[in-house]
Amino acid sequence: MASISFESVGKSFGAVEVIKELDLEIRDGSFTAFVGPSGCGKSTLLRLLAGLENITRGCIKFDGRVVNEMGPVERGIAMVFQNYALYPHMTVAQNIGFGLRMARIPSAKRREMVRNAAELLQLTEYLDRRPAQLSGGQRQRVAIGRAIVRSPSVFLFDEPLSNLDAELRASMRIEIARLHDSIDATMIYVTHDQVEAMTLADQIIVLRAGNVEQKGTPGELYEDPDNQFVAGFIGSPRMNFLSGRSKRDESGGCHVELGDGQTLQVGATGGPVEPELIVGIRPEHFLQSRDAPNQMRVRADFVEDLGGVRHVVGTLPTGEPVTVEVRGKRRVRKEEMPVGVMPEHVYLFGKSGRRIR
Amino acid sequence: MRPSARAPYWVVGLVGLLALLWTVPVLGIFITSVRPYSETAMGWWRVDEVTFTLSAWKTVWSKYPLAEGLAASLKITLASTALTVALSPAAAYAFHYLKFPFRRVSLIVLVNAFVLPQQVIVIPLFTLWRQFGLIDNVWAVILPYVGMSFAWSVFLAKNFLDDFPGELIEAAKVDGCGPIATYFFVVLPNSLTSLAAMAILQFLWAWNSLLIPLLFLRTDEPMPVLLSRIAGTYEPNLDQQSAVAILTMVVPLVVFLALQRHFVAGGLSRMGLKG
Ligand SMILES: Nc1ncnc2c1ncn2[C@@H]1O[C@H](COP(=O)(O)OP(=O)(O)O)[C@@H](O)[C@H]1O
Ligand SMILES: [Mg+2]
Repeated sequence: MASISFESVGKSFGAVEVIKELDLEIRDGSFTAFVGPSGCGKSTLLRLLAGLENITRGCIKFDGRVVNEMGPVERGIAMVFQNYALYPHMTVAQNIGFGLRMARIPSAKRREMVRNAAELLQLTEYLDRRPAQLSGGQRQRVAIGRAIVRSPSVFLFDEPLSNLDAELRASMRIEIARLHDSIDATMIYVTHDQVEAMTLADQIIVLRAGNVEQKGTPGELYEDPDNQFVAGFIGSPRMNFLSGRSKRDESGGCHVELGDGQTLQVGATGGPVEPELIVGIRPEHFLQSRDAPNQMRVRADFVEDLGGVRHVVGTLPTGEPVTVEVRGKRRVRKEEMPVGVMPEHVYLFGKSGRRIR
Repeated sequence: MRPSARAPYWVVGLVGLLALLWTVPVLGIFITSVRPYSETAMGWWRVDEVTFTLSAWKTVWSKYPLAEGLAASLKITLASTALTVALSPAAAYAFHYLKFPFRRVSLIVLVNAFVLPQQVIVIPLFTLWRQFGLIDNVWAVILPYVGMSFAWSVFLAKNFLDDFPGELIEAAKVDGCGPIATYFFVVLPNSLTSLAAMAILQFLWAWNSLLIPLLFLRTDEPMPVLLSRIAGTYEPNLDQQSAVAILTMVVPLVVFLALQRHFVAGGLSRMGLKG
């Protein structure tokens, strides 16, 4: 267990600034996910935390203690690597017990600890195999076993599920969530998959190009994104973005005019509004009802049927593409589909991508 | 890597031709060694008269210290192979993963020994060994063998380490290994293929070296030196030369055959790192 704080942490490789300036608190025992597209510096951040890479500026504290100069063991971290990084020449038992061996734990004690970890992860019958003889999911569990066996205070996961197929990914996600419930270590999880972050974490930090775009609970990021990047990144299928112009009426209320002249009512916006806007509507916020406000006509081009829900990929009269999520058995007609959206579900962004509330 | 289809005929033909280029002279040497010189003077393939005799083999065995020569060759070669295999991966690892002053410069100096031909270094080395009283001592040969091998062996090991998965090394670090423990517990056990390749190359090179032992050794003469002595006598003894040549050749051949599968096997492909 440890709380972690980043104070003005920066990391450069030569002239390339990978982490700009990071200030962050991670609560003891929490599950924090860093999400962002590939190359945004997630792995680098994790390696800084692990002590595998030196930070260029600022400091990292574990429980208030500066750990900048400490190695991974001193920090009390364990890490699950993206490609598992199991030792190919060792058996599963040796892989899991290697850290204990390096810590000079007596072999009887070590065997017991390895067996306990293996039981927790259902690896008992594979203890004598080598990594090459395991499936992807089993290797992943060995990698996790190697991490938990030393009861670290901080767990670091670097895209641990990205090499697994969809089904395994879903079940491993649940195993990791269960693991977090059963041990009270601080967990830090890095992924480019927002679904993993949304389902696992109690705090999400969205990174882009080494900057924190927003941090908050999964709900906060979904309901109240700070900018267009976060709005587009969180949520699946991604939010629709349309271009619009702002229009004030006499009473001071705000409307948005889309490209074809249609106006949309939006939720109250107190602050100043730029003339050029980006309108964001989530696919699941469209209502298939002629009574709903903000009626729009979508021409359905293509329907993705997922069983319970269907994603209609269509076009607005302005020519802009939109995705509409349709629930239930309602029939989707090819030509024109009337949809509406509640004013509070219309998000506005300035041209720079900043959210206008 | 599994062969998925039959090789095309031209490949088979080409490989066959190359194999022939290598085997025909060997066959020639063998035939020369078991026929009287008078029969093969005009060419070992002549069949005007064919007699089988082991007289050349018997003569060289009694006339020259062949057993001692083989022993000397083995001693020198094994020692220099062991030293190279023990030292150069460690050196390459240090160059690759550790930070120390003049790292780049010293690597360049080491690897650039490549461009120095043996002939250039033997004279200064000779005076140096004379100073130290090392002439006619096997170390006078082993040390330069090992030193000169660094040029390519460190390079070979470094190339291998360039491809060594960095995640494994980081995993070792997270598991509490320092640089030395990482080297012995993780890097070395996964480098056996490249070590075997290095051992074969160094073994062959050390075994076949002539110039350095010829100049620095008097008593413990290894096989190539004996061979050159036999060749240097002014009598028609091609049959005896052939017999000694076969003796010289047979040891590296056995070593190569024993280790060749490591040469062929792809190094990290068996490591099962990827899912
Ligand atoms: N050792 C390094 N030297 C130079 N650049 C690096 C190094 N490691 C990472 N980078 C760069 O830092 C950026 C972020 O990398 P990384 O943290 O691996 O991204 P992510 O894990 O989010 O995909 C990339 O542009 C990458 O090229
Ligand atoms: Mg990464």
